[in-house]
Formats: sequence, structure tokens, C-alpha cells
Amino acid sequence: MVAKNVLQMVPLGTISMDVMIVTAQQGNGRRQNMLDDYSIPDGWIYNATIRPELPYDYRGVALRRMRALRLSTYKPYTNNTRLFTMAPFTNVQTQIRMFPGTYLWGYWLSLTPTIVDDVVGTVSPHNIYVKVTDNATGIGPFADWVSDQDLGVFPALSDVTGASANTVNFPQLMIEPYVVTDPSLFTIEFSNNGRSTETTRVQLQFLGCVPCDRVIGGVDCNFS
Amino acid sequence: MTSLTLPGSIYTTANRCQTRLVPSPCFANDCLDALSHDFTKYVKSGDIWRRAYPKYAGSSAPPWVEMPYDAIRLNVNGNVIFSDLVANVLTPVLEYTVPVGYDGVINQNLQIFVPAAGAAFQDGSTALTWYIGVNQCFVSDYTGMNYHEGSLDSIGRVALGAGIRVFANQIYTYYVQWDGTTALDDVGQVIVGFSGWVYPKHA
Repeated sequence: MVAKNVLQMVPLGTISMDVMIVTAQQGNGRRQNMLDDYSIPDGWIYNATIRPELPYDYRGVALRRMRALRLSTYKPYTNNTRLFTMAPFTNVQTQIRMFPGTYLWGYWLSLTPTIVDDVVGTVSPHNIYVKVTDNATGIGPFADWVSDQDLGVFPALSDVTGASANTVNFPQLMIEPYVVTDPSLFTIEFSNNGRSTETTRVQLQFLGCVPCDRVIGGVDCNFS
Repeated sequence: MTSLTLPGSIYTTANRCQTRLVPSPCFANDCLDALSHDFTKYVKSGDIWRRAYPKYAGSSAPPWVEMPYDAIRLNVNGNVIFSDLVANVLTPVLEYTVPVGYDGVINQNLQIFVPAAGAAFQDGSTALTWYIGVNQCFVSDYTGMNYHEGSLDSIGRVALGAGIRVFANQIYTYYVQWDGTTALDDVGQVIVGFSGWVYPKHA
């Protein structure tokens, strides 16, 4: 509580985020392990008002759980399904292969109306559902159907008036890194439930980190 | 304020907000590698389903493949008269909610059109199209079916080894859609059904 009060009194912008983090850790005794000992100045947090060590919201909690990834030398990695065009009342299944040892930290669902000059509302929220199954376990990052709206595809639909503008989105953070194990296959299903009568293009992208020796064939990954 | 730096890194206080340059693997790599190794070992150590359903761990096959001794037979049917169908609209014919506390499997399904005396349904035509929905979406491989499955004597497609795995609280709906142009017997019946079993979810 001491640390919380201190931080509230310090105007943001007059103190670096690193100092804030260290203050918080030392002040309230929450230092738990080595992961907490180092601040991480990377591209994950451009907003200095976000403090992962003070987990008051989902993003803070999720970023806190990503510390090992951010401290490591794992390399950025993305993998995605191909772009499917889905008529109403149809399902498609696909499978993507990843590197064993990959850690996923986020995903990104893209929905695109097939009509170029689309207007708001022709692709409705809760129109597309997604299920992702990790073949290694039979369950997955989200093993039952998840709505497109739950994946954040429609954060500002009512504000959008331009063509196909409701495809704008940002990656969704997982609550913690998801480890991909051999055979490193994900089965992905999309379902278009026909709430919108329009054919829709769908694509799911995963974002993660991979040990660089898996990518470049076991050679030394020391980039210094 | 003590300046904390990553072991072996080139960080200085001055350039902390610049792009990350981590020259060599550190303890964080060890954490990730160890977790990945352990999880892989866990996954490969046996069938995951035996851990998910410890009650059936001694069985030779998962409970959705072989019917367990304490499973409950699932057999539900529904029908709608043809004249009630609206053109190009999915009409729900049967709705089934998986009971709380149970998972299960649907490994047989029935979908037929039974005319009284008028025009019958021709398989492969677009006159009738069946769909199986789960909650707000559809079951893969069970959409856009323009053919009948099964008969009143012998319920339809048998998915050996598995089928549609169902989970507690899910709502399964059998829909039929009429194309609005093909005239079928007005008093004919569209009949659908599910068959399978549900088993206790927890040991």
C-alpha cells in the first residue's frame, strides 16, 4: 500500500517507468524472483501510464506474465491461417504447424467484408466464431467456440463509417504465454453463423516468440 | 537509485528506452526452455484424456469412443410439418441441451423428409438443407447437407471412433432450410434426431 500511495503522488512524466517499477517492487516487498529484478525497456509498453507490476487490469496482468519472454532472447514469430472466404452458414477447418518450443503471446482475428464499399453493420458482431485446438493436448488456447466480438474485432463498430474499416484491430494478449509442444499443430475452425448474410473473409494470426536456434538451425544465436 | 541491468547485456541507464539488444541467453531463456521441456514431457507421458477423466483412466478407449458403464443414452428426435417452413430461413426442428455435469458424444444423426402422398424429397437437390448448430455457430462437417441420413428404422450416419463431442451446457440445434422454389408435400414431415451418450464429467 505504501508503494501505491507513493506512485499516486508522483506525477507521471516526471519519473521514468523504470524507477516506478523498482520503487513499487522495493516498497511493497512484492519482489518474488529474478524476473522481477529487471526493468524491461522494450516495445511492449510505449505507454508509461501502464504499470504491469500494478495489475489493476487485464493488460497489466498479461504483461506481467510475459516478463520471461521479454527478458529472453527468443525471437518474434508469427503464424497465420490462410485467408478464407466464408459464405453464411458454413464452417471451414484448417491446420497450421509451428516450431516446437514456441511461446504464443497473442492472436489477431481479421474479418473483411467481401464488398469493397461496405458499410457499417453488414458484417455483424457474433457473426464469426473461432475454435482453436492444440493437437498435442486436444485442448487449446480457446478450445470452445469464441465469438469474433470476444476477440475484439468490433471495438468501435459504431464509430466507423468508411469502407471495410471494421477490420482495424490490434492483437489480443493472452493471459500468459502459451507453450507449443510437439507435434506443434493447431487445428483451427471458423464458423459463419449467418447472422450477417454477407460472405466474409476471415484469417487468424498468432503472435509469439521462438527460440532462435529452432529458426536458424541450431547455430549460435548470440547476436552481440 | 540502483541501476539494475540484465546479466551480460549492454544496457545502460541512458539507453534503456531504445530497442532491446540482448546479446546472449539469460535466466529467462532457462525458464522458458525448462517449462517447454517439462510440458512436452508431460504431454508425451500418456494420454491426456486419462488425466481429464480419471474415472475412466483404466478404460481402453476414451469415454467418447467407448460407451462407459455409467453413461446415459442420448436419443432425441424432433419434427416439423413442411408447410411451416419459411423459404430460405433456417427453421429449428430439434433443440438439445447437454445436461449440467455431463460430457458426451453424438455419433449418430437422423434427417429425413417423410411425405404423406405428395412430392418427395430428392437427395442432392437444394429443396431441403440441414444444419447442426452448436450454441451460436455450426458443427464442422454438418452444414449444408442436401441429402437425407438414416431412416426411421435405422438412425443415420454412424461416426465410428468418435463423432460430435458435446460438452455440458452446450445447446445443439437441428435446422432445416427450404429453398422456397421446390414444391414438396405440404403435409410431409421433416424428422431429425440425435443419438449417442453422455457420461459424468467428473470422477
